Order: sequence, then structure tokens, then C-alpha cells
Amino acid sequence: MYELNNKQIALVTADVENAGINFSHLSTDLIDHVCCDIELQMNHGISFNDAYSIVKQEFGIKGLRQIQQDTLMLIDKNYRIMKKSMKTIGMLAMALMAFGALFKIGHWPGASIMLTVGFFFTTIVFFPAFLYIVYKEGNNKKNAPLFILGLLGGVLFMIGVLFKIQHFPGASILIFSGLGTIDFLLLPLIIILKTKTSTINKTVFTLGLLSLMVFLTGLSFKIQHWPGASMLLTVGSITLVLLFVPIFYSLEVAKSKKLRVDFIFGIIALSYFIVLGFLLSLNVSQNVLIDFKYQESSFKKTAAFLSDKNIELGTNLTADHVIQLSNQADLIYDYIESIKIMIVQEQYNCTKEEAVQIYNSGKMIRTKENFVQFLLPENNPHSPLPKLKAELEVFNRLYQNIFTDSINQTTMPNILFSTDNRVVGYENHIVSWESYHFKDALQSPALNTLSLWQYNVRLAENKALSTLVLNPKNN
Amino acid sequence: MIPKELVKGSLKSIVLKLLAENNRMYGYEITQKVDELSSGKIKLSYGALYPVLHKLEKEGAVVTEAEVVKNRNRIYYKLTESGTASAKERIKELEEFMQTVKILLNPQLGFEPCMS
Repeated sequence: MYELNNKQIALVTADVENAGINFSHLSTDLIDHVCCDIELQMNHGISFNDAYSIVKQEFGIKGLRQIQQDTLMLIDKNYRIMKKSMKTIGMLAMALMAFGALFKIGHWPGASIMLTVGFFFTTIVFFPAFLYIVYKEGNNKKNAPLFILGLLGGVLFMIGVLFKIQHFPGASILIFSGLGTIDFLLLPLIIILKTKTSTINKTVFTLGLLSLMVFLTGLSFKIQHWPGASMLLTVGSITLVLLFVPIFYSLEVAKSKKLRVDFIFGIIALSYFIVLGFLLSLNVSQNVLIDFKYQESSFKKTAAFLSDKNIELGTNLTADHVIQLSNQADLIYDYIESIKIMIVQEQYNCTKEEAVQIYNSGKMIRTKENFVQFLLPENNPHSPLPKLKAELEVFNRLYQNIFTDSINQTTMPNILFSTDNRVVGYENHIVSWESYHFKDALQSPALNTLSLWQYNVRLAENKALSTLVLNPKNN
Repeated sequence: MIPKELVKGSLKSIVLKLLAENNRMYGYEITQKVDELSSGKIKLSYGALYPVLHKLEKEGAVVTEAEVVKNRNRIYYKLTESGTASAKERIKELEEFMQTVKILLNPQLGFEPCMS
């Protein structure tokens, strides 16, 4: 009978452990079994290498993994249920999300519900089941805190993304806390726990995780609009791409001859991450929104100019309906001003006086995240819009009383202050005046619209007054 | 060689039977024994054997003991008391099953099929 020496046994042991066999004493079982098989072959008079390759052909490295998975399937009921549900629900959720995205792009009905359900299943079922399976296959109790933190951070982050897509309140906080959990709890813990046992070079491993931490910190700063975000993002991604990946490649991947699939996946995922990071740090979105500011200030200036002119014109006009019109114009102007202050207050969560100060100083932060949903009557029982609508209609009537000819009576109000329902989109949806202007609107365009109306009110008042001054007959 | 699907259902009973007849056995020994007794007709693969052995251990039917043999650890499997009881039961079940299958395959014992 041939007997393997220590060196040969060590070779088999390394191969079995590389296959990721770590459940209970399964690896001991398999190592002994493989050694016995090799010895049997060698008794026929062939060399160790030949005998080992014959035995390897029988099971294959993947085959060993399969044995472990079969064992888990047979023994662990939870594992069995999780694995089955993960596959079906995972596929279902992906399909739902893909269709949801397609419907969203096409503006077809049902997009939101599909996305929400898809996200829900991914977050609540697929993701935890996936982590549980990875945890069970790893079979290392010490890793439990890592998986719990990963679960917590991941779930918070994904729910945050869902909220963001649906414009639900609290999205930023969820994304921020999810990223924070991963960034400041999970990654440091991985560094502490894993550098001791990892087969990868410790310095490289720590470098990779640290640059990932910097990158994620940058991302969370970005979401919270804290200064320094762009710098962190750039530093993090540059270290990842220019330092970690090349070193990791030359040290680890080049060693083994076969290109491993998970390495390719890793690189693709990383490049998506980096591109996203650079896009965020470029600040494109914000610059677009800053343009609204310029437009708004010019509306304000012309409105102020017209207001001065109107006072001048109005001094000689004393008829009741003229004074009524002027008063109504002032009322609308002030009311719109107060709505604008409400928007600022909503963003900064401050008192009215502070909001007035912030708005007048022009130092507001305009971002792609500040929606004015709270202005809509369906979201807010104290919405100011119905009153504004009513006041505008009063103004229209007063304006029409001043003119005798029908062209002048209708053109101006129709162009400037129509409060009728509007038709939008390819499908000719009819939406209310409020929704048309403020639904899914960002803070900057909403402020812009309001300033335009203030200007329009002054313009209409000016037209009415100057007509009366030029044609005193009408007065 | 007997197809895997047929062996699969009775694998647990076979393993229990072998363990009942031998004091303790290791995995490779079980496959060899099955091969020998069935004159090569039943070949147990690793993939079929170890999940069953681990399941039996989890159920408490067998216990394991590690021993260093030929410079490596070897895991021996041994029936427990409850394992011996369930072994008897499983073997009885298997015998009953084989009888039934026999009857199913030879239904004309005492009867002639009706042929028109």
C-alpha cells in the first residue's frame, strides 16, 4: 500500500480549503477521502501528479463546493427555504424593477407601484436571504456582526433609494444613515477582523478598504451638502483606480493563471461606482439650477420698476374700480412673496424672519432634492395655492371691467393668469393649475414661477393704468 | 451499474446498515464496502455520501471521532443508541419496500392476465 507524504497531503488540503469548504468537519472528511483515492490510484503504479489529476477529474473543485451546498441543503431547513425563495423572488423583483423603470421612462401608468414592489422584495426578501446564504456557506460565527451591519446598512440604503425615486420624505436621511453604517461601522470592522485572517496582502487590503471609506464618506457628504464632498470623492476614486486596482492585480490576480469571474465583476462594479462619483463631484446639476437665480432676480427688478411706474400713473386715477385693481395687485404680490418665504422656510426649517433674510440675501442653496410638494393642496390642508388661485381670478375680473373691447379684456388675463386646467404630455392628461405648476417641481423653478407671476401682476396693472391715462374717456 | 436515482432513496438505509454491522467506519471505507458488496454495481460518490453522513450526525443517529491515520485526520462515524434503533427500522422499511417492488414487477403470481 502506498502512503502519501506530508507535502502531498498539504497540497490536497490547500486545494480543498481553496474550494471554500468550511462546514463542520466536511473538509477533513473530503481531504482524507481524496487522499485515499489518490493512494488507490498510485497502487496501480502511477505517479502522485497523475493520480491526483485522475481523482480531480472525478469531482472537480466546483464539485467539492457542490457537496457542501448539498449538505447544507439537506441539514439546514432555513438555508433550504432561503435558497429557494432567493432565486424565485430575486428574479421576480429584478423583472418588476426593469419593467418599472421602462414604464417610468415611457410615462405609462403603474410604474411607481412596480418599482416600489420590486424594491421592497429586493430589500426585504432577496438581500437578507442572499446574506444569510453567504453567511451559512462561510460558516464562521465570528463574521456574524459583519453580516448584521451589512444587512442594516444595505437595507437602509436601498429603502432610501426607493424613497428618493418616489419623492417620499426622509430619503436623504435613510441613504445617509445606510451609507454611514457601511462606511463608519462595517468597513472599519472588516479591516479589524479580516486583515488577520485574509489571504490577501494586508497593506493592499487595508488600502483598498480605506480608499473605499473615503469615497463613501464623500458620497454621504454630497448627499448632505457638506463642504469637501467633491475632494473626498475625487481622492477616494483616484486611490481606488490608480493605486488599489493595479497593485491588487499585480499581487493577486496575476498569480493565478485563470482570470476569475468575480474579479471581472469587481472591476465592472468599481468602474460604475467611480463614474457615478466623478459625475457627482463635477456638480453639473447644481450649476443648471443656479441659472434660475439670475432669471429670478431680473423678474424682481422689473417688477419693482413697474411698481414705481404704477404708483406714478395711479396718482391721477381715483375711480373705484381702478383703486380696487391696484389694491388687488398689491395683495397678490404680497401673498406670492409670503409663499416664496414658505418655500425657503421649508428648506431651512427656520423662522419667518430668518427665511426673509436668507431669500433676500440670495444665498440660498439650490439643489436637485428640494421639491415643493408641500405646496399642493392634496399634500397639505393649509396649502396657500387655492387662495392664490381665487385672488388671481378676482384680479382677472377687475381687469376685464376696466376695458370695454373684448380683445383687451381677454388676451392679457388668458396669457398671464389663466387658472384653468392644463393639458400635458403625449397622452393629453388634464391636470389642475396647481399640479401643472408645482407637482414634482424643484424649489428653484417654483420660486421662478412665483416671481414671474409677481412681475405679470405688475405688468397687467401697468397696462390697465396706462390705458386709462391715455384714454381718459374710459375712466 | 445501478442508476443513481434508484440508489438515492435507499442510501440512508444502506449507510445505517453498514454502520450497524461494523463498529465504526470512515467515509472512504463506506464507499469501498458498498462497491465490494455490490460487486461494483453501486458506486457511492462523495457528493451523495457526505451530505447523508452529516445529516445523520445532525439528527443524532451517529457520532464522529477524529483520529490521526497516515499523517492526516480521519473522521470515523459510529452509530449511537438511537441510531441503532432507527437503523433497524430503516432496514425493515427497505426490505418491505423491496418486497413490494418485487410484487409490482411480477403481478401475475397466482393469476393469469386476462387476455381476450
